Amino acid sequence: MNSPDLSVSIGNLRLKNPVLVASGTFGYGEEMAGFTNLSRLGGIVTKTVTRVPRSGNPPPRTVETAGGMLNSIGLENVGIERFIAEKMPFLRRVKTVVIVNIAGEDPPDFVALARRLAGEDGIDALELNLSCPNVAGGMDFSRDPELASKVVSGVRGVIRVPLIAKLSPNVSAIEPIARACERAGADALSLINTLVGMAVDIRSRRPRLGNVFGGLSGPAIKPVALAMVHKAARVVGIPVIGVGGIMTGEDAVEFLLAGAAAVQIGTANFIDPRVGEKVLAGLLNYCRKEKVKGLEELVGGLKI
Amino acid sequence: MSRAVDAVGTVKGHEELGPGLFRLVIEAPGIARSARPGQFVQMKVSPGMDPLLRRPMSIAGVRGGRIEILYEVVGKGTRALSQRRIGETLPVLGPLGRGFAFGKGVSFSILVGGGSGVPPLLFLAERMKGKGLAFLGARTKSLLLGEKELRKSGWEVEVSTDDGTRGHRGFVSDIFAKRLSDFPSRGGVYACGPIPMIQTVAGLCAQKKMACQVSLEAMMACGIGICRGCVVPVRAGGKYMDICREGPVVEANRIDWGALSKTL
Repeated sequence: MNSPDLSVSIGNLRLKNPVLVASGTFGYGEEMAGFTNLSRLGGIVTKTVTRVPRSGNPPPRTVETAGGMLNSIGLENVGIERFIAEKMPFLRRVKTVVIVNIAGEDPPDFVALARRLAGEDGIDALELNLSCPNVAGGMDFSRDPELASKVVSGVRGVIRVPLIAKLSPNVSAIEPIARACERAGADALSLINTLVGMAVDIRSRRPRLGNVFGGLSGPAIKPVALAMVHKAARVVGIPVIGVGGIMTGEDAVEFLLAGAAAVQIGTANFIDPRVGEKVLAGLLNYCRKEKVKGLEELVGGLKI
Repeated sequence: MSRAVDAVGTVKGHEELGPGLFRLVIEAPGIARSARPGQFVQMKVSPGMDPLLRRPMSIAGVRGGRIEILYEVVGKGTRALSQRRIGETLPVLGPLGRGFAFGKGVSFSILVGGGSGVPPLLFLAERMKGKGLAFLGARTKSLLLGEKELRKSGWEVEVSTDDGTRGHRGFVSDIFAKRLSDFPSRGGVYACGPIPMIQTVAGLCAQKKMACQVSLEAMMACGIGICRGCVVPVRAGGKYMDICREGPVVEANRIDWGALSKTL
């Protein structure tokens, strides 16, 4: 039997399959290369990089919760210059799509980052982290349609690669922001980032995270992610990348049916470094069993 | 550094040594072959999503292709682990992290272990050529690990329990402090246990200008340096270091103990 065609387009970028790994859960790829075959993945989204290095938030930074985990890492990263010097050489050799995730403090900061990356080989797309819940002001970009479109259009002006806007679920309505990003020139949206949450230690009566609040991820947030992906996909014409609690190929199928053109795996990478390959295998299996020949038969195929 | 493998381990032995205290033996030759004292493994303690994340467990010893884990049931993860039966398999990733540096420049070895901090020191003692002095502490006699084994292999052992049911009544750092003047200055101290305990030991070693390596623990998600979750504050070379890759064993004088104690 012929293998189903799992390739998918994001802007002018062709992914060999729709299974990506999410920013912040896969390092810069190199750390995972010893555990999994990177070339099997549809793409890698690198850990958020900022203009200046960040040391991150005070520990404790993670805590497990029912069906998920909270993190308050705070965008710890080596900064754009060391990223280019130390991380890009490996990423250029990776035989899959490389999507670099960036976060700025304001729209000009985003633009400066994009400009710095514009001349670099080996970057197939940018993902704009408009939605980190763990840094002061970090979420405002995707809470406010105007601010979000300012960032997207600013970056659009200085770099040619496809742009993916990563959106926050911590909003009252996702549709206006999704539309604003599309209008501003985004080639795709990815959602959702983590949900703001907290955990309390009743013995010490203190928060379990050093930063008090953190971002909730893992299977616990999958229903929220599905709903938001579905809502966003209904109102935009650009591809939506579904993120949130994907552990298996079946989970990925749910997102595709809800309207996602591709998916990103996050927290599951911490539990099983090979999970990307397994999700892909599960997706293939589903397609064979259901006689699906191409992904377009699945994407948005939810019957309502 | 030894290369970590993502193995499927088979439970070959699992016994309760004391109330809530277990010895687990796992067949995992790829890990056993290269494991060094102080390193750890990340184990998926049960199938399914509860608990969701793997649990870091220090390696207490290696026998052929098997690794030994000693643990106390303290929460959901260890409770789930305690239900694993002989013959069952579980994902084990390791060996991970940096272990103890030993054998060079140290004339006399001193181990200081409190509670669940004792197991990695037992592995260390096994691999050390010379014998030295070990301080072992536990909350109570039935939770005390390693005393018999270390004595049998020729170590001098001093014991403390919080409730006085065995040895000195009090903390293991107390009995360590009492003997401090006996130690040669070229002695090397290897400590693992609760943060306040190793902080005290590290402080005493600094006063005596003795080399001290400590093994730390923290909430951990990935165990391989990806999530940046398990950090502790350091005094130089950046604000934080990750325990899973740069640790868990670290020179005590690298840690910013004041900042670390505030995170507890």
